[in-house]
Amino acid sequence: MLKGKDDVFLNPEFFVDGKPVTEPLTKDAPNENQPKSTHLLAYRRLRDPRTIKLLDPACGSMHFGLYAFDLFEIIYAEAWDLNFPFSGSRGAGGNGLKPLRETYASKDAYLRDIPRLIIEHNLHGIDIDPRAVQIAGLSLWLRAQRSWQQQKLRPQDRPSIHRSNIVCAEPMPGEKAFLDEFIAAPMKHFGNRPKNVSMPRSKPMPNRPSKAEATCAVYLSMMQPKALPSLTCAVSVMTWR
Amino acid sequence: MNPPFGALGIGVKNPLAKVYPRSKNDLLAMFVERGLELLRTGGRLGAITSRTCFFLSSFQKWREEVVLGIAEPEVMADLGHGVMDEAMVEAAAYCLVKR
Repeated sequence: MLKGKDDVFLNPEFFVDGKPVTEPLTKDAPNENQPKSTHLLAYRRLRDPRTIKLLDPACGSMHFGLYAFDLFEIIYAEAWDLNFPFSGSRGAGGNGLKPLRETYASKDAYLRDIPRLIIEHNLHGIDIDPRAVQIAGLSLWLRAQRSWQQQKLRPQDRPSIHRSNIVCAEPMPGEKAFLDEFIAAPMKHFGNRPKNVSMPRSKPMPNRPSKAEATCAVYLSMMQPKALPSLTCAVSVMTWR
Repeated sequence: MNPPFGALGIGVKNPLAKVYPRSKNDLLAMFVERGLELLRTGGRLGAITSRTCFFLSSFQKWREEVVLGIAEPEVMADLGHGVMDEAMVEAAAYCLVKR
């Protein structure tokens, strides 16, 4: 075990006659690891909230994502009033998106769409347990409904959520025979899998993180959109590089 | 993130140790290294894990080259026992900024 000059050990073997062997912690003890001056981290530039990505690589039922949902709601609400100008591909309207005020006719229309935007653009999760992935998708969907309920939006007026970015990653060590078997097996948890297993959707999804995409080799299936209204869920296999 | 941690399974130990030589002793170290890889410069990684990675000498390379090399710690809380409900583990929570 490494120990610093000022560490005080509480295990019995470090005590002699009831006193610690190491020198006690003192306020003015010299510490060569202590920075000489305060180091300030610069704020990052404001950006279009739709381009901020959060990934929980071991998301379970998406507990952290639910907390982040609250924060994203605040970020989105502020972004409309800030109406910040273009600043490159990552700024307002970055990644091929139109700026918020060109996308939405009014602030009300925008606020109504925020829960959908958070699930489709911001929150990403991976877990090895398919059941956890289902629960994660459900809990985000319910969280969105809660926001819409608070907005007093009738269910038929609520935007539909077309996808979530939660994937199930089977921790395959890369043995091809097992991988082929896994791909061939019907995914009974998630209904029928699409015919094209190499691409998750008929059109590419530009907003997924590219490196995470590279690790997710095979997308297998998504929930039937009608089975759970407004919710889709994808499953993938992660391969080690 | 609250990544799984512990030693690796026999089947995956060697291939993973090749890919993540700096983080090979524990799954949590690999999650942190891979998470940092995915981030843009200035992106943040928050994790709650076992605290042992900050103390054991076997993690020295990981601390020097990953936590302090490709990232910079922003804030850290050495939490100890009783934080994660059932898990018998001393925890630490920290936020790293990608360099």
